[in-house]
Amino acid sequence: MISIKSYIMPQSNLLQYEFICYWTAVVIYIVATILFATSIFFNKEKHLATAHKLSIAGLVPHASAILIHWYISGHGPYLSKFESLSSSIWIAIIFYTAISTLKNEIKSLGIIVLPGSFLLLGMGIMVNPAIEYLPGSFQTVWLIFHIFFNKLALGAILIALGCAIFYLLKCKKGNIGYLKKLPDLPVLDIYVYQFTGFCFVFWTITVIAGSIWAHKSWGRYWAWDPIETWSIITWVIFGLYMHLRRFHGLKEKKGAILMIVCFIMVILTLFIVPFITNTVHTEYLL
Amino acid sequence: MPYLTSLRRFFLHRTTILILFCFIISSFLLGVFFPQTSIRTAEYYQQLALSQPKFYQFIELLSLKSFSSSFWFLSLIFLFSISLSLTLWQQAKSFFAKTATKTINNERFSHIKEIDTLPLAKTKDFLKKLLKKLGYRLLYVDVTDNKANLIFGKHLIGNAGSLFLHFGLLLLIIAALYGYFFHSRGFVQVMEGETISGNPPDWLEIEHGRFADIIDPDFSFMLEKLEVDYWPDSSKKRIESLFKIKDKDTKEQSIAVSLGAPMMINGISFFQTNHFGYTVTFIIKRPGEPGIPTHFMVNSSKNLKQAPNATNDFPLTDYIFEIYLYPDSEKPSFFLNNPSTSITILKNDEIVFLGQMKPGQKASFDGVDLYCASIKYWTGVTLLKGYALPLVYLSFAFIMIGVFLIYFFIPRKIHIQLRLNNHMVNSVALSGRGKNAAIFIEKELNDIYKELHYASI
Repeated sequence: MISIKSYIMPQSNLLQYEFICYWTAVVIYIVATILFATSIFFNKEKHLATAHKLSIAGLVPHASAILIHWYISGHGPYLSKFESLSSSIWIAIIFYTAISTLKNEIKSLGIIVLPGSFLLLGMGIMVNPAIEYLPGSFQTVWLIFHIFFNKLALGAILIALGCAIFYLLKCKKGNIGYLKKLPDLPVLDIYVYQFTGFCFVFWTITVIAGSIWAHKSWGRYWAWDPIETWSIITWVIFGLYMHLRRFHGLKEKKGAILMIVCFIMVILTLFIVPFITNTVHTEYLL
Repeated sequence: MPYLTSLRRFFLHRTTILILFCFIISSFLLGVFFPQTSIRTAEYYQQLALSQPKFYQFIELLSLKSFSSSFWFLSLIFLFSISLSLTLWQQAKSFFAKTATKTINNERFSHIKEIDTLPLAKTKDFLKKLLKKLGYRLLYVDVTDNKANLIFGKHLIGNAGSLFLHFGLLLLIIAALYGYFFHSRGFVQVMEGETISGNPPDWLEIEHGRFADIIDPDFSFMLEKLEVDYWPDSSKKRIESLFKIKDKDTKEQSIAVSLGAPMMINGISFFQTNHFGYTVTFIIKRPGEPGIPTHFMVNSSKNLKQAPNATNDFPLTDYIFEIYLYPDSEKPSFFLNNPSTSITILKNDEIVFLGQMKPGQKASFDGVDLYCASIKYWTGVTLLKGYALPLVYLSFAFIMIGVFLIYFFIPRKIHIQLRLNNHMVNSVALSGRGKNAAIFIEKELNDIYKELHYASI
């Protein structure tokens, strides 16, 4: 039987193609961002649809690059900082494009999702994108669940953030200009709650899968590692948001502000704590 | 007893729950900002005690270096558990209670439609089918002379979400406390061919809960073989140990334990650690005396450019051995294949022997004979007992089910009032109810209203 690898080009050529695909994706995301901005600030309706289509189009070279890297490294895109950034952004954009295709009224959230995405992706390419190999304790399906749902949580919270920001802008400025095209305040409010809820669900699965993985690898399902501690703090704050919303009527403006606090905690846990502490997550996460 | 009722009200009060949340978050933050024993070594704390004695005293006083086992944190968890248990009891009572859904005479109906007079039964059937299409089921019907009230419900299982989540949390707290008080753990280095019988002196690290004994398996285990694989960049790909287990009934079995794939024997879990290296066994024999064997543990190196090495004294002698190990004497390798050692032996800071030896070879120096007996692998294994894992996993399942139900099954009800005149319906009034479901209900009421407008019943 002929090996499929005999049809694949040498690794050095593949790495070049990977590089080209990544930068193509970055350029497409930049153009989409510009079009989102013009559609919102200059009221160009057609640019919104084009920007949305470009966001979807950008996923193709991005996915190709991820798949090439996956093939060369022999493991999924969750080990090095570069891989983690790239796959997180891909999932976040897929989440946004899927939800905004179903719910037309939140397409404008692209103005928040896309710029962050291409900046982080560009940053990831600048960080050493060398191939890293999977250590023995990382070869488990629980790690895949842990990382996959973590990325879904990030996607959901980005959309919730966009809805919260638009809610607050609409509260402050009223129904003027581009804000007229956005859903009504009660609808935005419920979207904030729903997407924060999705993030909470996925974050719960992330923490649980991580605990199971940690136990299978090191015999401890919880070791108060800084990332573990920050992730549980974030989870408890989500719980606080839920309680305040359901039992103390903390909705609308205050709810949106609390949601932004939840977002800050997520970013702190995923992107800041790993840089400033030395944990088992530092090497393999952002 | 009134004070019990007051206590119950206190623990169930929303503000109490919020305050408990805030205290828990604060205690977790303390755990982040004060270095914990689970991630710092004893040497770190010794240096901290020397460099910042007052700060270290403060940490010791409040047990901040191991906050999760401190008295104040356990008390906080205890208070939280009381509140959680009472909440759970209340939620369970209201979920399982048979609630007679009463018609509310002063219900504010958002949609009212005048229709041609129609038979009640036919109208009811039409509405049941219509609501069924929207995913609702009929919960309650009440017919009087001039009104018929139909109450439909959807995703009511979502009401159980909080129940599952809180029960899961309580179960997790119980499992964690059980593990904390009753667990025992031991770490041991074992070389190929060596049998560990479970005596405490064999363990390098021991840890046990307050109500547990030092781990003492009722079986012995021998490392038959260690297998290690590497990636092209010299990082470890796989470490797998093959153990022969012998219990007190002299029943033997073999188990394979690798990184990320523990095994359980007689209630004790075996975990393969990332530690491994080489054991070089030397025997020193003085004339007329029995030989003194010693095993030198040499850690594996991180790359092929550096030979694994170790420096240690030889017990019961004045000699210090500096050993460089070449797992493969023909080429740089991590794998034992015709291994050899380069040894420097010092006595009183003077070199008394310098040379290379392979297993089975003999050398003489300073009036003694030195035998290189063997070069084998060693590895680290952790044994663990009593963490109540099934309970932990069960709690995880309940928590996940709970959060799914809360966020993906938002419960809501639609109340339809049919106004009757001589048992014939002449108008239909609609209202809906549900927390965080206002826009869904609004859309559904609009859909029902449109159907009533266009449909011919």
